[in-house]
Amino acid sequence: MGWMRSNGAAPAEIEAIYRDRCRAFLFAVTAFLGDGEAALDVVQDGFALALRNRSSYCREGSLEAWLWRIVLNVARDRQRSRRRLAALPEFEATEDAREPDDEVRASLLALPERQRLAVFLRYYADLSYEQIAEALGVRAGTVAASLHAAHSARPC
Amino acid sequence: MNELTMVLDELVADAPVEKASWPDVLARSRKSRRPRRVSKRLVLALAVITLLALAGTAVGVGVSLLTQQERFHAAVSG
Repeated sequence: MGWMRSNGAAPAEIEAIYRDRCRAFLFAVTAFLGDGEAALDVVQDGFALALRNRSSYCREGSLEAWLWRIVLNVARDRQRSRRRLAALPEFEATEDAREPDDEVRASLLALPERQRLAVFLRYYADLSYEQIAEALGVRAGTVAASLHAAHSARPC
Repeated sequence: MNELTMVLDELVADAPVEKASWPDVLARSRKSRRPRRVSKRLVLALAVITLLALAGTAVGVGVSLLTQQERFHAAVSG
């Protein structure tokens, strides 16, 4: 029946995913940016962008993974421009992180971007390795390695 | 694993889930479409005007040079 499917996503399909999974998108982007309001703006802009470019969805992967890719790209752009504007440094684990939670938080936020995103997508969105791979544009093996590295990086 | 779960939950404590709205997504998708169309048209119009102005200037200079050349030859032969 694949021949019956045309390219592009219907607005109703995108809306259904938004209504069902908005919380997961918002949580993952909030954790990534460290700012709930900015994350909301990114998720709204990301879905708006997806709506405008819905004809470019070619139905090779899942629609949700395609939406994740768009939203995460908007989030990355937003983070880059915020860093440029405020000259914010990358988060680094500091010696002030004395409490166990602080140490875990510091280790988590000090992870490379892809590993951090893999952890967030796994935890907040409950995506499979394959879905995370699609969303991040990498192979499933890379996701498994990223998650393993992320878990290994946690303090004992 | 519990510590990591606690930290991950803390990271999203201020996520404004209740503010998420589909009508807002629709409004944003319409809002940013128009200026791009306008700006594309504007750029195209400016490019056409610039080309026409350059072409007009080139033709004008060419005609003027030819006229001067004809006058010069007429003066020399006359």
